[in-house]
Amino acid sequence: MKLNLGCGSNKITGAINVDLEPSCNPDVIANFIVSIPFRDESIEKVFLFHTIEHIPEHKHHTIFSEIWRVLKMGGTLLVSYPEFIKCAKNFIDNYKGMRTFWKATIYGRQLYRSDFHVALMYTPEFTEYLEQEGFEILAVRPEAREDYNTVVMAKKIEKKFFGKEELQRRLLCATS
Amino acid sequence: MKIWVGINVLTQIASPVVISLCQQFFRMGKCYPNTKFYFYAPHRVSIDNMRNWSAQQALAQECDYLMFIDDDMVLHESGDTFKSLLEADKDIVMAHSFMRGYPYKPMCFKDPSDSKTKVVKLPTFDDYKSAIDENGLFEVDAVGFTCVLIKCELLKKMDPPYFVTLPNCTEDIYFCLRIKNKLGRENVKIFVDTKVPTGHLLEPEVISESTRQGLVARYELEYPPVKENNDRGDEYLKQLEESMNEA
Repeated sequence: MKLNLGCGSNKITGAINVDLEPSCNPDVIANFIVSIPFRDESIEKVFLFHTIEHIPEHKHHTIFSEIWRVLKMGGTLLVSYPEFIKCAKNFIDNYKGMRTFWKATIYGRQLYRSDFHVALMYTPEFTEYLEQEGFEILAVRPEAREDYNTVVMAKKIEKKFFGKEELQRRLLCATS
Repeated sequence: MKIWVGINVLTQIASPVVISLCQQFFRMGKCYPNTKFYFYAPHRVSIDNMRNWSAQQALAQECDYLMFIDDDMVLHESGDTFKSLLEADKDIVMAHSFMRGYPYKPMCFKDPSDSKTKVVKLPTFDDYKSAIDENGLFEVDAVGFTCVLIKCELLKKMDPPYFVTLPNCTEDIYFCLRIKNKLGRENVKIFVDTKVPTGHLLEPEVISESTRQGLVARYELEYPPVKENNDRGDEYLKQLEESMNEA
């Protein structure tokens, strides 16, 4: 089984398309930021395309914990997002004279309520974070057509032991 | 009649602009021998400071009009830009010009909404050609002050500072928005005069009505436009998996 979380209007054939917005007509309407309504280790692949930047950072631990829970051991996660450093540079340089467009890659188009980018995505930090959440990074690539976006492929592995600081951080996230 | 002419010069003016200004000032003196002109071109002063100081001095000298000319504007070869703007007899009238950056849009803005009172959102007025009247003028909600003539009566109805650069708004648009919202949208007439179009210096080209299309085409050939891609479905997944497999 494959899950396409935060599908919006972009459905993937052969995957269960999940979104919390009913107007997108997803296969499953669920607030996947809080919990994913599937059994432990029942999913082979999870897609999270241009969704993570719309979720506040303090909720990332919850969503990746849930993704880790539902994925089978060795199952893959594909995440794509706008790379802040590249988008910011393009904005500063007014690359191709499209400053408004680059601003939207940082802050979202803001056309409707959830169309805002609220998490800064910086790959070195994000991949380290995924590793802490129990994933092994398989590949990191810029998107073929839009190289200011990054794609990360990761695999579920056994979670590593974390120390006191990490435990405190997780406790803070859980209570926010 | 008294006219205050403020020319925004940072450090120097390019030679094509010098020639056009000489022609312009010659014609101003010849056509209006009894008019007093004050020319102000400060060195290394920010644009909003220059405009604000010009406005204050224009009022202090009891001028009838305030004119601004940017230092990268090549005025109409007839030298009659000022004459044409004066004869238009509008509150604010700009000689038609285009922005320097791609896609070189016209330097005028119009709110397409029907609101009679407040001007809020201002896209560029791209479809201006259909709005040109028999006098070669068309009405807008705001203009850039590349080459503009303003009645000093408007300044008397506002408090300084008249020109303020904001994060999302240049000082000229700020002025137009503020005066329109203060006096009512219907009560302030802002026009563009197409009879005396100006060229905006790009270095070395000049962007004007006749060169614009060629410049846009050349730019798009060199930099194909980036289209916003909202497709994150099957095709997108296929491309991602292919690029991952190549790794």
